[in-house]
Amino acid sequence: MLGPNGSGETTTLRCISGVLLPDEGSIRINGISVVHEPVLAKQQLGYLPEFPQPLPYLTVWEHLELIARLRNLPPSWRQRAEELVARLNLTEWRDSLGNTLPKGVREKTLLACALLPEPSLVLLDEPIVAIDPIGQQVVKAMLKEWRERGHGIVISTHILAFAEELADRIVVIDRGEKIAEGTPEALRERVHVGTDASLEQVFVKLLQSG
Amino acid sequence: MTALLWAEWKQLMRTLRSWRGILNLVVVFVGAPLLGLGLTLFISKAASAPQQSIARVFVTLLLVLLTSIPLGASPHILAGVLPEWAFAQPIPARKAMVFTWLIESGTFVLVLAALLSPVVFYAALKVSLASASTVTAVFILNAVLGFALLSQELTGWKTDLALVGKLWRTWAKVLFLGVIVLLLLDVGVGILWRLDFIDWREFARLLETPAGMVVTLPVLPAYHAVKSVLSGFEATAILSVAFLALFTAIMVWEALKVAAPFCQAVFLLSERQQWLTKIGAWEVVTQKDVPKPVKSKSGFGSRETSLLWLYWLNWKRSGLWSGDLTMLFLIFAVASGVIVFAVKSTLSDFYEKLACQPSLPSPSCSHVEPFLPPFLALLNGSKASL
Repeated sequence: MLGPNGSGETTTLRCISGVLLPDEGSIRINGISVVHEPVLAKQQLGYLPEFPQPLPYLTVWEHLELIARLRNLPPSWRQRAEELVARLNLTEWRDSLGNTLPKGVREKTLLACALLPEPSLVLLDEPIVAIDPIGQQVVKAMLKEWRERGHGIVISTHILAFAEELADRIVVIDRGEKIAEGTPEALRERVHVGTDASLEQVFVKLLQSG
Repeated sequence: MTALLWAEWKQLMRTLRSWRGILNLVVVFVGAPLLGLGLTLFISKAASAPQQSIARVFVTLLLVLLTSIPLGASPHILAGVLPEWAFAQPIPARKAMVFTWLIESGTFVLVLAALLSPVVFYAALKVSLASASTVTAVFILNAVLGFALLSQELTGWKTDLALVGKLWRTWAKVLFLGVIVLLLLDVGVGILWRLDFIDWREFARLLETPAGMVVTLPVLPAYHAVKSVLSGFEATAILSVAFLALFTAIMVWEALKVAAPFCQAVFLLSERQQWLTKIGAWEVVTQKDVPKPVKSKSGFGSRETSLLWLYWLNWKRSGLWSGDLTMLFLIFAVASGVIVFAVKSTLSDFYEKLACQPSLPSPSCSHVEPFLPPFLALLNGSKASL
């Protein structure tokens, strides 16, 4: 999901995650309405908000434990949590409190929380903004694996290279309205640029014409 | 919900263990020790003073105010407990709402207990089980009633008895405001001109007349409960608690009719935002900057003064000043006033006793006491005739 600042990407993700109620229309995750059956719908998703705020006095590991408790995960969650901690390079922060974590580590912690229950849909709001380049590579690799395993991912980002690398489908919104949707190739065709044009060029053209 | 309580408990314990947490507590509750000290002096004096002393009545009113605070529960206290990612977890709205309420009410009970327990211990009050139970019952009933009224308020007063609930809520707010204004006026006048602006004994007597009891109905159970702690247990306390219990039960029954939308309102950011905006509290809750454009200003002076300037602008524009000033005024005015009164009344007692000693005969000792009851009776009589 791409769009200029304040165009409504975060609001859309908040509506999908059930944090905000939509004024109109309907949102269904695996056929379950977020508005009418919020608890069931939320069981299907993991959410990383734009401003990752861990609880200040819980450690990274305790955040994962909290998610496991909230979702009644089977005991095998520990093994999965250990894998996520190791993969996201959170081992040295495992026992650090939320209020002592650098921003990138906060993002990774809440990303691990979002992925821990293995939801069928993950919502990520600007997920790699504060993460270092090595961490970005790890996150990208994890998300690709996630996608290949058949899970859905909705990402809002301003890093167009990231979108281009990961996205099967791109939605461009502006001032709360969807102005374009399709594969990167389809969007290139729509604005009549060559196949070698970058997504940045496509994005700018779409906004100028839209 | 147990998972959230587990997390909150861990957080609380760690806050209390960290230096920063302790420092915050000291800074936030800087006035509490002062207030506690003042109340201690007051109640120590009130416990040994004759019935209906000014100190005793003053303390009773202060405690009534504290015990009734849950009645004034506002949407502010129900917001901002959980971070955004927690709202996206599959937690039923009702459980989350109860959790939020428990956390906030629990915090309040802890603060109240921390404030009052030293007073009870230092004053060596002999609190009977009946009196303590009455105060606790009133506190809990007020909390439940406050919550029931809040649910009706947030869902637009749509139930059958909404008008009664609305009236009660407004009535309680007016009484709160009235008591605070009276206390502040009395404290202010006492400090500035060393005068007793209000005769609290007379005030208490007026409260206990039938008209006074009707006017102060929402805080009446709290008044009689606190009075039973200081002056001995009476049947009035039981009657007023029974009345409060009945009224609370009716309002809870009404609130259950709007339970679902209320839970949703507390749980969903969008609903909360809508209602809090409606009552003009959203900015306060989120401490958001006011969106209207602000005229830019230039800095001045050296690096140090520029930092001061920066702090000043931030404080002024963030809206923190209103809360800061109100809290500072309330804490320091009430606390210092209570201490001044306590010292003053202790000293005047001391001089009175000194003057009444056999070696120092004074006509005031024998003349003032017989003079008071007829004079008060005359006052009451003239008020009644009016």
